[in-house]
Amino acid sequence: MGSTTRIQSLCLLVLVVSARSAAFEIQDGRLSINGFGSWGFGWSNHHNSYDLAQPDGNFGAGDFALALTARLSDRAVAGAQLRATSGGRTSVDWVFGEWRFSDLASLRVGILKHPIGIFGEVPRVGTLRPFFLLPLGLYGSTEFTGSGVEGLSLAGSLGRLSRWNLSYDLYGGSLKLPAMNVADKLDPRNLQPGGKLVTSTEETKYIVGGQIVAVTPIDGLDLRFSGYGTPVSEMNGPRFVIGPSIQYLGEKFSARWEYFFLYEEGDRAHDRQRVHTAYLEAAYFLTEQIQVGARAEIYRLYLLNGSTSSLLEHSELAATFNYWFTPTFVVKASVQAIDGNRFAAPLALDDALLAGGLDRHTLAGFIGSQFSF
Amino acid sequence: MRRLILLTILVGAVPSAPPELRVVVNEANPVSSLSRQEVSDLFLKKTSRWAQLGLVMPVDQPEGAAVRETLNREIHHKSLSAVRAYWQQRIFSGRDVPPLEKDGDAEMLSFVRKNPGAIGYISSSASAAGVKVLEVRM
Repeated sequence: MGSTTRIQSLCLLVLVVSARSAAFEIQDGRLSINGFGSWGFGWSNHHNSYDLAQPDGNFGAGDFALALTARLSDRAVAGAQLRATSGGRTSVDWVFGEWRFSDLASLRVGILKHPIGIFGEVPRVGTLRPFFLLPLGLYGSTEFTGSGVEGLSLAGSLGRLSRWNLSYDLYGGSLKLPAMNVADKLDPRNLQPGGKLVTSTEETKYIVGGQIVAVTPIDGLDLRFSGYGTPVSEMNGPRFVIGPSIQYLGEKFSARWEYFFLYEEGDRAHDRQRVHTAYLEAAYFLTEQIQVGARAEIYRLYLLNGSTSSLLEHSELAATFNYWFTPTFVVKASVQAIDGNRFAAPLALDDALLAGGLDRHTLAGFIGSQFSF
Repeated sequence: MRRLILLTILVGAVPSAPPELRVVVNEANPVSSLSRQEVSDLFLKKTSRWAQLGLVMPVDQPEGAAVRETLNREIHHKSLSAVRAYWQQRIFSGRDVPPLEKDGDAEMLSFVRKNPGAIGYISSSASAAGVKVLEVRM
């Protein structure tokens, strides 16, 4: 780990320790400053790297973000969220202008977070979830969730139907999706010494999508249905993603279930794919500070050329033990037992495949802190 | 004597009543009665405009204040963690920010008196001079 990374990690730690639990409000709320961050150590075995976890240990998993929201008038709002990682990368999570016509409709134009599933808009806010990492099948480097929608959205509340509260979000524009060259690794002719899995960003233009959220009469229970699609894509053919989500948030007990399906056509045989992913997680506060949780996740990528490989599969059982110093500052320790190499594979993937194959079983562990204010 | 001891134990075991809460608005606000759900929607910013006064300006008391816990339980019908998760989701998706916080009944009342669109809440023991107390239909 470089000295710069160490310094950044230390800065993050200082921020964690000194973080206030409340936001900063200026001029009676006309400008609000909020933020969140995390730092973690990840370790995995069998030479397989799993997201932030690496076989020789990874201390460099940290990030910090600041969200600024300015009320320009009774109806106009501007906002931006800037994020920096301990690797030195900075990015704009979202930046937009918004006009609020009424509670029924507000128009936002700019770079927006992708409203899909429970965490599509808040994938890095660790104080909103029990596990240090979100399920990778849906929120990792997959074809489901984009880093942001560049375009516009119309959102609002549809009011109450009986004791149900409905809200909606419609959006359109361009979506930047992470893409990994997994399919290339299935053909031995593509392998070369030193070759690696590469995650690139693929822009899917002219997408339209939406999400509807129903807050049920049962306190703490909400339902979502999300989907988006595009009839055309520069790189690939038509694609769409759909899925339901259920979340229950109680005082001590919380649970979530999500399932998503991807359909994609393409010119090349391995671009024609179907992906299913689902997870179920539950967490319980044993005391005001101590929380335990468990999660089961499955992901299957089917290429229509008939290829099969552990690189197309991921199954995971995970457990976490968390200590919440305050509701906005938590230290988490988790362990993941993984079957499949879709998200757990050697960094030098080609060398491993050329040497005879992969170990499809991985054990990974994380310990880290997450905070928000 | 045994009965007296039992009575003392039973009385001691009864939890102390939560502080009652009064929802207050500016005296210029023509609204005098709202349902519990309507009040909840105002504090969660699901309803953002008064019919005649424009922008709603909800004001909260700090987390940990007993009267705010009463608001969560009696008005929102949500746990503190559920309300906190609601606002974190709103903040970091860029949807909205939580209401301003005013530290105690006196600051809350001062803000409501100054702002026609304001809505706040105070404990029942505080004087509501200079503001209007809403009837909340449960």
